[in-house]
Amino acid sequence: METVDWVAPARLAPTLPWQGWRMDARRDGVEDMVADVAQGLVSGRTELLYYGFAPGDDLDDRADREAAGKRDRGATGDRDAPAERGDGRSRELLAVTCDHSQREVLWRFGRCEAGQSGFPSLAAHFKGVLWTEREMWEKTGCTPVGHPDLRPIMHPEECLPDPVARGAGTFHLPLGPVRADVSESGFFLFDTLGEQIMHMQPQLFYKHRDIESLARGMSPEDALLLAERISGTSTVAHATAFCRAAEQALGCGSSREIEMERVLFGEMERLYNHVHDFSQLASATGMTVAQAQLARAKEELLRLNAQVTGSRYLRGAVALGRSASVDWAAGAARLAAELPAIDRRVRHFLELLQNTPTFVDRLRPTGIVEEEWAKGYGTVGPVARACGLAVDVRSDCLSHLYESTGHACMTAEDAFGDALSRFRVRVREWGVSLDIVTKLLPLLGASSSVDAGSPHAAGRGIGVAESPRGRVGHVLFCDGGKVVSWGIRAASAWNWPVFGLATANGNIQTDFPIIDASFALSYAGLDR
Amino acid sequence: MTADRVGALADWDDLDERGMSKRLAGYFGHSLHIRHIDVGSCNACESEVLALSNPYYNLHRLGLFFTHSPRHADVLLVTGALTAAMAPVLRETYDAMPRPRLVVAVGVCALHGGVFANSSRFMGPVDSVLPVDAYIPGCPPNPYALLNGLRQAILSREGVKLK
Amino acid sequence: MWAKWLLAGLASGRVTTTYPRHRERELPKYRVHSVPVMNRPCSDFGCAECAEACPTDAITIVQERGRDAVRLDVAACIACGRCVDRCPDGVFAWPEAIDRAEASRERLISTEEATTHDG
Repeated sequence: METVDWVAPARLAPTLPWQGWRMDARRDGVEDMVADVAQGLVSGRTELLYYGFAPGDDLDDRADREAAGKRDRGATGDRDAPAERGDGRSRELLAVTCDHSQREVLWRFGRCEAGQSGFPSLAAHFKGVLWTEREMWEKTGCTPVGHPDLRPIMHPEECLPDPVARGAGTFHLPLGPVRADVSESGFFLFDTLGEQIMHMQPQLFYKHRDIESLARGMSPEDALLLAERISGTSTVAHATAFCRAAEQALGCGSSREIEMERVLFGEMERLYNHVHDFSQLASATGMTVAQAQLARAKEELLRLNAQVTGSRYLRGAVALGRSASVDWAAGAARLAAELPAIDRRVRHFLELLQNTPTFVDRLRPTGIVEEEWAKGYGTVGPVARACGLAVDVRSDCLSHLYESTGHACMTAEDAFGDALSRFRVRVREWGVSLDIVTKLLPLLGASSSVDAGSPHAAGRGIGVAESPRGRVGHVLFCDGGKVVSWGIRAASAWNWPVFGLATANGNIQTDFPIIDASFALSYAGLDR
Repeated sequence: MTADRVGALADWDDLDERGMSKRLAGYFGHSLHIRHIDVGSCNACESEVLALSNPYYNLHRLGLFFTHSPRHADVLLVTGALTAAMAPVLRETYDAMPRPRLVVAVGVCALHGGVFANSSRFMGPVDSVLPVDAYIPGCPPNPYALLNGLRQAILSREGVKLK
Repeated sequence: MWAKWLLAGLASGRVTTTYPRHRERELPKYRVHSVPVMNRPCSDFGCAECAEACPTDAITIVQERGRDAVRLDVAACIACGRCVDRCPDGVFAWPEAIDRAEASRERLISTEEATTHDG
């Protein structure tokens, strides 16, 4: 496993998010803006951090109507087709892109003309926002003109996908939302020919809790509690991204000590998530000893989290504008004492797994993500890195936070984009995360808080963090110290559309649990 | 910490333990099969429910098993804030279960809604839809609480002739 | 290969809890914040810091038999710990009995006076 060069603590780089980056905003007509953003994304020059409607307009009239409908539940609901609900209000499209070579974050606003019921589709050029635009269309009734696959996505109780593959011998196998074993709720429609999967469509949003609108009018401290509960096993990543966005929006900034703790908690989260994924993969391939032993390591990591912060999922560890209330003298000692034993166990079983032909053979050509999909859909996290793409906010957007720990983006050595590559990326990341934690431990202890002073009356902020599943992006608009609008882009939201393609990529039914475990997607993160 | 009020830590007597296994044997033929359903959780509760199978808790030693089909289940373990899309699914799953059946609500979202209580998609706590036999608070409840909740659910049927 | 797996499995020892047997010995093996309890009476009902801090209204000040009382409904508690941190009286605390579960909804509610719980 990798070892990375350790830079002396004295040379720790300044560690604030977006430090040294230029933040810019541009307002154009919506046609120019979409064309421009699409060009940047297709050429690979820029990366899309967030895409959606900007606030200032009544974005979510459906939510309001549903709230009204809930009060007199049972009354006949008049559900007009979303496309007919374009109400002529003027809207503004927002895309936040970042350019790594220029170290620049650009907020692109695209003004739709008043009375215009549609906007040019970005998904027609960049497939990563296929689902996002369906969501935007269903929420507002504003049509993305030129969208290749426009159909409802957010209300599975009303509308499920139709089968695609047809012909003699084709079977349609609906699976879910209540599926085997303990898992989250989601629906899959398989079109199969014998054992072969011809096509697979995931239908999510069973767990849509409307978190973004729920937060409107809340104080950022209260919204942080929601952020922690977007995706339970990415608590730290979402909380960190939210806090970074809020601190930028309120103009209070962060400090080196605070960021160091966030980095540490983020890596602790990655450790238990990766072990969980190893364990699930072992379970999917029938390696019961490895499954039990790795599940045991996960439990030990969760208990360690609880010992240090009080919460097994590190809830409450990331706070807005101040350090965690953690006794680092005891916490760091405990981590330093207990992590090596857990590490030994995990490495031992990973070694055994990698030398067991029945395990490796099941993973090797399974669930391949073609490189063009990985690029075209803007995939993130281990899924992208398994295709050889160096996508990792720790080494691009937040490099200064990590460079002193010698972190390098861990792409797969054999970038086949299959389940084994994803497994190997996680194996390498296990080593890196552990290394970062070990190096940061002696530096902790100084508690710090930033003076909120007089927060901006109104402001906007973008926060990113690398969750175990990939990049998490939060966009926050505040006014008078309250949340005006909040946009959440979970890591899994980028990877879900590719999941169906990879599942149908020459695999059979029995491969599905392996593909499922190797993607390790979060349902709650996408559903919100 | 003072241990004289709520939350005091005391051992359960052995009699109670033996009583529990006896009742379990009587009601469910030595084993209890659990069907888990997620009606809108954040995945932390699922992670804790999964933790019950790891070597630290090993729920099989108590005669508890997860089952794939509600048709084979004695207990429905409900996690998450009941969303509009999951409400009919929860009802169907419950209806598919054979009698006698128990419902255990897990976590603050299922018990009350917690931070999602004001969401336009939230349909109310689980006990407004199904009869609930045990309530497990927490965000998320840890595995010990889950085990205790299952125990409480069985005890709640004490004296009820089920056979 | 299979021999290696067998040995690795056997060599790892037993960690399984005996819970629910020996509850008193098993639960304190590690500390975790489950849901708070009220472990002493509140001296100043006018303060209401806890009720203000609580993000889900799990804590409210109510009238109990004609007197003010603090009411804690742990069914609504997300264990954020604000009440534990902010109460000047130290009324709220993280309990050692982290396995709280009840067979009835009412038993999840405690008021400052009537706080009984046998686990």
